[in-house]
Amino acid sequence: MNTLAIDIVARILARQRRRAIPIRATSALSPDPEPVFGIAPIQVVAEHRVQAIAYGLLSSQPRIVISENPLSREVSCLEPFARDLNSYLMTALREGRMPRIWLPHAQALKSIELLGHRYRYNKQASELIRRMGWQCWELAQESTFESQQVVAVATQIFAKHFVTGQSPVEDMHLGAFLAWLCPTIGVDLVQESERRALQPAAAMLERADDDRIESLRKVVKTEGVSPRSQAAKREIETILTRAARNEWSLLVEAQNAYWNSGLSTDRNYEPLIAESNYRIRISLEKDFRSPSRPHSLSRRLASYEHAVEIAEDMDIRADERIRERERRVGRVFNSTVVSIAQPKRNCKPCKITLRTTQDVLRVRPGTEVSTIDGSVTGKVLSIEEDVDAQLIEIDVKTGVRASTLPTIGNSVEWTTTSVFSPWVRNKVFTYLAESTSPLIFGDALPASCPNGAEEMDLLEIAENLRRQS
Amino acid sequence: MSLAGTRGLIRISLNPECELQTAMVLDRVREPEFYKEVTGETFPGEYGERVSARRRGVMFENNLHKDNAALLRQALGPMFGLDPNNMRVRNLIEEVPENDLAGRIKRLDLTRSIFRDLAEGRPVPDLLIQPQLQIITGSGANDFDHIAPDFMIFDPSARVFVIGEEKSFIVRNGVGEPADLDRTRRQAAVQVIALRAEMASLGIAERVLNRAVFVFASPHGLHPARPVEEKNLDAEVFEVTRALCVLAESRERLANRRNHRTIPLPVIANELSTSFRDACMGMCVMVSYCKALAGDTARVLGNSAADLLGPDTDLTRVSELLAGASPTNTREAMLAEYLLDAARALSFVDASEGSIA
Repeated sequence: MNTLAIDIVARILARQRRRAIPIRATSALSPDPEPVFGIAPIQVVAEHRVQAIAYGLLSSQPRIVISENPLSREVSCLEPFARDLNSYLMTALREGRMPRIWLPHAQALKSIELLGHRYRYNKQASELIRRMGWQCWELAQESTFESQQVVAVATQIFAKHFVTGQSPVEDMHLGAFLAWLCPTIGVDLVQESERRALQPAAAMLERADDDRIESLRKVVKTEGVSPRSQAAKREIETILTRAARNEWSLLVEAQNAYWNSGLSTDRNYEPLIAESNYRIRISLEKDFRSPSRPHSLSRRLASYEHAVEIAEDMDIRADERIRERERRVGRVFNSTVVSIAQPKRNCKPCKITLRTTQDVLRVRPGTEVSTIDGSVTGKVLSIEEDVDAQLIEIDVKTGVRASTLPTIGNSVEWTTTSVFSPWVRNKVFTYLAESTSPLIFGDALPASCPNGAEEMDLLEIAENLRRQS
Repeated sequence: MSLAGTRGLIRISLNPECELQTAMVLDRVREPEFYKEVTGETFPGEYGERVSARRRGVMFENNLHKDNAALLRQALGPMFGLDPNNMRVRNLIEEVPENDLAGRIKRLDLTRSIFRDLAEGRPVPDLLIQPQLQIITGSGANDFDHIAPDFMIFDPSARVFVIGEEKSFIVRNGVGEPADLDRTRRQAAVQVIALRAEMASLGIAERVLNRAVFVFASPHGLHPARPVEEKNLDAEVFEVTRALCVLAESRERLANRRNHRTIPLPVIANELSTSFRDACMGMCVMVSYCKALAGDTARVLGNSAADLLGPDTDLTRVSELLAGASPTNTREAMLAEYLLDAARALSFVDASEGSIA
């Protein structure tokens, strides 16, 4: 059963029921730690330069910074934002709690990433702006880790948890998605979604406002300090403030809609929070350069992989709907305990045999398995056919005590997901870094070095092997 | 701005099955006006390039072309083994600044004289800015469009010019917005086809490969983003070539439908088939019209749903099957089983009923 079919069925049902429906039982995002910080930027189209930002604690009215001339090198207008962002992040770190930043959509995330890219090491910017650049960069990097808990981008979170009765392309518009998530009684849902889609929700101004500001900026540029120029500046500020407030309202609406959607948060988030908190703490305590060498890039890729492993493992254990999907592809299986071989009670060695009638199994000798609650773990020793079923023998590693070990006849569910400890991988990367092998750090291929063996006809070898068998 | 030339070909290449769109390209409609004539309402959305985007585009190009195209020479010369300090540049928009038809024809003549020099082995400029090409779109005398690549760079090893496009959107390490990059590549593909046709008239078409050079902007200003890369355009050239075929076939069909009279397109718009797809959104003014025509079919749920269920599959019927209605044929039976299994994965199936709860 592939996820595409699930998505399509969910959309059909959402369309029929006239509202967005959840495709998960639980939230992948842990409950908002108080306080939560929001950032809603407005960019100059095509320049991707911030011209206004609404920001602050989501529980309060936003503060707004405006850039009169976003194309100039002058960025002191961003300093209040830089100061408040720094204050929020440093207070969170000092108090030992995880920061949480909400953004409305992917364009807003890109916007702050670009702030990071442009100002992190910009010698012409003030120390405060460079610090802002660093922090924005690290927040954008954190958002790339699967199931990280620090940066919440509303459109991405919605797409992960719900489907609407429209196409995925239309779902990318936050306003249109919210129309499905929070339908208004008495209002035609499709029409409302299409109406909201006409308003930009991508960190940009409405067309008329954008064109108006372009003409006003020309006035400011050509007329210096004249009354007409001052009036133009005031009008620019009014337009940008209004647009930033609208983006902020959308963000607040999205945050509220998500937490009121009925998704359960009754699950374990600790491993996800711990990973996220650790990463953001390290990255905000010291400004490390982005990885660029083979060993550091490999370490980064391994971190991504590790984050995916943790997320998948946690989701399967916590979310029944996800577990049902994984059952269908064989990563989770139901079984009955048919025998236990444990010479000494409460001790290893301990081998249990399970009987399962599940059609699809992604299990083979050597697969690490564990019960859904994680109390029993083991490794598959063998799989044999039985009448209309399969028998799986497991060498139990943890949970051998009588109080945790399942008894004969028990029905137990197992998962094949496991989280590979980063300890071994880190040893590999350390070795890589120290060895500086030209195979890894160089650009040139090593010269070919024939081993001196006589040439062999591989086909002849294959034929000989076939005859022997 | 009318829907013609490169824009029209790109649009057809993205949705070649839409008869209405192809007819709009053939008739070179002005889209917002066409929308009003068909629907009776003003187009409610945003149309056309924003002033801010156009301004940036102009500034980016001007920056690349100033000082005898210094930035372009620095970026492109080493790629083709040319010394940037000794590259010969001709800027045809400076030589012929008029932007009307007469100006385009003059630049086309200049471009063709350079091509003749190339074919006959005489020296040619290393960098040609705003050359003019023509793309033939049919067999009639007026079935062509003027095409203006941003530049062409001479590749001495292949003894041919390579198409070049300048785009002011930001790219980092070769990564930009996929939709922007896709349209740019298709635009270059149109130019490659036009260039090949010009070279064919001189007997050297085989020198033109499906490739182009793209110069994008860095995040830090109006400088080219590094690295500047040459890209293979086999897929895009294939799709644009198909678009040209679709255009030619549709021209004849449309003439027949009009009985070879000048019936305005809005009058016969509802007789033309549409093909509502994801690519329509954000691209075509008629999207809401076509979406309404698609009604309650799988098309409205996106390309993936249309591909899986069949684009014209009635969603109401699918809902009935999910609710337990008896399939009327083998296809419905297979679909019901497949989709009910998916619904079970979502825990939406009533175990006792075997249908959606």
